[in-house]
Amino acid sequence: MNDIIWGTATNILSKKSFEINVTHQKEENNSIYSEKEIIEFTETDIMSIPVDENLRTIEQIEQGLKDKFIKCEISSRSDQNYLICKVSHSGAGGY
Amino acid sequence: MSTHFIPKVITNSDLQADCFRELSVGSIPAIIFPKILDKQECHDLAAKILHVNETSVGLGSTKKIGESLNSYISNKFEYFKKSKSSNAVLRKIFSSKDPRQRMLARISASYGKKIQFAREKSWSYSHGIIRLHNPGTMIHIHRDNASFEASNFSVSELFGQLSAVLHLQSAEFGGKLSIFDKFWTRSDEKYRKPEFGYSNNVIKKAFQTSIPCNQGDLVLINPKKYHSVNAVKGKFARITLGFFFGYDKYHNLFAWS
Repeated sequence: MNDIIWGTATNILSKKSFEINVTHQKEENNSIYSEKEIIEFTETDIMSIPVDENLRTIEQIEQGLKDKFIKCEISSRSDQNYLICKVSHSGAGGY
Repeated sequence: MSTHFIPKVITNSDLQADCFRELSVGSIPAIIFPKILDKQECHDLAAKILHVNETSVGLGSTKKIGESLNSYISNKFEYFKKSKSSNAVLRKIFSSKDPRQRMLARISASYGKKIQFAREKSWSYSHGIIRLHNPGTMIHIHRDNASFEASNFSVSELFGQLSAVLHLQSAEFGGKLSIFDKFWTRSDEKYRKPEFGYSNNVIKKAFQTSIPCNQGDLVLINPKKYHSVNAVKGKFARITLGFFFGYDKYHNLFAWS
């Protein structure tokens, strides 16, 4: 099972990466993560973000991710120390 | 204790634009239209709802009839598909008496604008949601904000989102709605809980107003203020019918759930 972290996306860095303030970590995770991590996403369920990276704009990424509470399913850590993740909106803030 | 943060009770059908303005800016916690349905009407509707075999599981251990947009933020097609089915079920349940018409009429008269259920292209939004909170259930602290959370849906472009809830069956004990005198801000997302809602820390020191779930009362709140429902206790489920509404640039009102 992949490690999972949750938190708020703070800065959008590129069409496939952003900074996150990590607020929750799954108890069963194999690793411990820092309060701030950089996420590189390989997949997302966020509808406003095109699957093809070439079709994305920074505005789309900002609208879909910035300040949002995000769930990151981690597959690995890159050489640049980024977390490679599948990213989705987490739960509901509203009813 | 604050004396200003108390609900406005509207008993007539006059224009009440000031009350809506106060609710929008957060200076009052709620507008209450008492007894828009009488006890017998509520009893008949609750009986019908409890006997119809059309409920689905909502958040936690609640049951529902109708859809909630918040459950489909990443799945727009599924939301509209399910809404089409649940709108038909709601029509069937309310075939002889439709309480939504009474709710819409009261809101329209008081606000001074027409209100209708929202559409997006050829799709209909969910025309309300019936929630059944069985004894033992509660609704954790949360806020509702389609503009922020549902940016792929056209209702996210509406302004001044408010929430309308008609209480069809009261809990024997508990089931009180609490409104906290604190608006959600983007920076509050750090208090989110992975499954639903927010940590109690988000409303620390905020003044709280409790509104009892009185059968037949229509209660409007500003859902961008944090709110919760305490545990339902006793023999009866708490049954409500609700929807959100907001206005477009022409100040026409549109509703959805």
